Amino acid sequence: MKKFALIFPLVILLLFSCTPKNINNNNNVVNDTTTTLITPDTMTVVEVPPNIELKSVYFDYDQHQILPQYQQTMLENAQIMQRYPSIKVRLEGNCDERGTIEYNLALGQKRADACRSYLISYGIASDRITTVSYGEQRPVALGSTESDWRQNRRVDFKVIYP
Amino acid sequence: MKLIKFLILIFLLIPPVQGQDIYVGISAYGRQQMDIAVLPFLSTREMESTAEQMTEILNFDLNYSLYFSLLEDFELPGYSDVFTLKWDKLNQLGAEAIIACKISSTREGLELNALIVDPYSESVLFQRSYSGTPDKYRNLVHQLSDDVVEVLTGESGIFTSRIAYVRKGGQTSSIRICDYDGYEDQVYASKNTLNLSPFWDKSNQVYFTSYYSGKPDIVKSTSDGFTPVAANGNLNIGGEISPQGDYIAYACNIDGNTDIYIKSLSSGEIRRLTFSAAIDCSPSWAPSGMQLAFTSDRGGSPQIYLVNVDGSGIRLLTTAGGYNTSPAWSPRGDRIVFVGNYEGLFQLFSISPTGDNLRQLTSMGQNEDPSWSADGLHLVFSSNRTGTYKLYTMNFDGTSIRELISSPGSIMPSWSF
Repeated sequence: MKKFALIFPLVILLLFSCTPKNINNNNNVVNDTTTTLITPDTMTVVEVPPNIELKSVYFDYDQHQILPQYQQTMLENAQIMQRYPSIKVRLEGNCDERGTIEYNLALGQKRADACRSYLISYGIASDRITTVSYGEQRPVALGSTESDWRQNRRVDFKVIYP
Repeated sequence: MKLIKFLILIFLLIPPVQGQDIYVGISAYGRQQMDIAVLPFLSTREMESTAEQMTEILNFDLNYSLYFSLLEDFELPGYSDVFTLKWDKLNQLGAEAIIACKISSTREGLELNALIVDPYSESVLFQRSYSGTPDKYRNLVHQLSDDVVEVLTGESGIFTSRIAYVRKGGQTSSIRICDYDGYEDQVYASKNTLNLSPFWDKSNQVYFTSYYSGKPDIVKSTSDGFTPVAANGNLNIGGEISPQGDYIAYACNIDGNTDIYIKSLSSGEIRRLTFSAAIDCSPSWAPSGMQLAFTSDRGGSPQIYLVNVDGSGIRLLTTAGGYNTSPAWSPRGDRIVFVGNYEGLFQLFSISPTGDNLRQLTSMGQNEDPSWSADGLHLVFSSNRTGTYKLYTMNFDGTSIRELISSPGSIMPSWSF
């Protein structure tokens, strides 16, 4: 037990000494369009391209569970976030127009929260994820058919670069 | 003279049938409509058109109140001065009260002198002069209308109350405020961001949900900009000030899920009322301040629930339909209006707080965002019945639907206390 008490802070110290943040501080060369950093596991240089795209996931009407057909999308989004540890993501929850405004704001938040939980379960640190709900205020399809509504019941993954 | 008094007594004993023909709803609150007459506003020749407009506004206000039946097309030969009224001519009109007004131009601008008289007892019930700048002529009449309601019914009028609402424009929206009748419509707050769900406190200050910080916070607009009132977690929406003016109820996800909270406006102390893993939102206070209605999907679909102000006694109110949201508890306490999905369209319904007497109030297009006038006799709401969302008002029982704001993209109205 005493040994553990000694080793534990040492491990913490080691972990902190090689977080991307510290390495970034030592690496002052920052390109205009890309950021260079060294990941702690491989210690190799990874370029962060300026146009990383994470895919949106879509939901059933008045539902906030991740559908089976979007679990692969979630996994891919999580893998991209693992590959580029310096990026963060803002999860934007949206709804179709067939709801009342305030309830849809809460529903959009639920959808964003569901995606957040998934990313965390894949090992993405919670401080890299923020959420916001726009309810039915930011539709991508402006019509009133099921195909429009389906596009609007979504969570967008907005990449935030360091 | 004795004969006249006897005739008056007979007249008063006859129920005012005319009022019942025009509107039966007010009798739901134990009242009969009172027959009254508004005499044409007197003025100098130069101010004749203003006098005519002010006469029209007073007639509109008093008709709108539901308390009165206004005499139309009556004649009063020789009427030329408010203060030389002849009682014998006035009590021939058949009105239980008569409102006589005169406007004049003064150094300050416009002066309105008003009298409310009871022609049968030959007495002046009320006399007041109102003054303001000429552009405030509508407001002078609204102040008089409030006085008429108070003098003749003992109730508070709603004619100087105002309505805050949201006007959408692309990705942003502004908060606007207009008079109860839709006039004097102006931008209140904008900041080129998304602003939603305005509501009033008892000192006529407007609060609303704004995305100015990037996420929805409840704020008020001050000279320093937007000041946060509730800005915890990622979501602070749907506020309403308690009828006593001391608490704000709202929905917030500070504890990881959207629940109902109340916050003391004086101490800032926050109390969580609901603990469900489901969505809880859109709280609305009972007039006692001891209960709230809110929306929750804890049963699988959104329905209206009630909760005591200490968080106890949560119970389901609505059992018909699969999507019921946005409750608004009447200031009279006896009805809760809400939005229900009926045959694929959102309609406004009202129900008693015990879950009885469900009534459908609207039937055209989509209808959302109900908000009560302080007298509990009128509702303002948004509807796309003509193709785009505009604001409408109606009586508490769904009658007399009137367009309030005709500009498209007008939603989320809130009527001041």
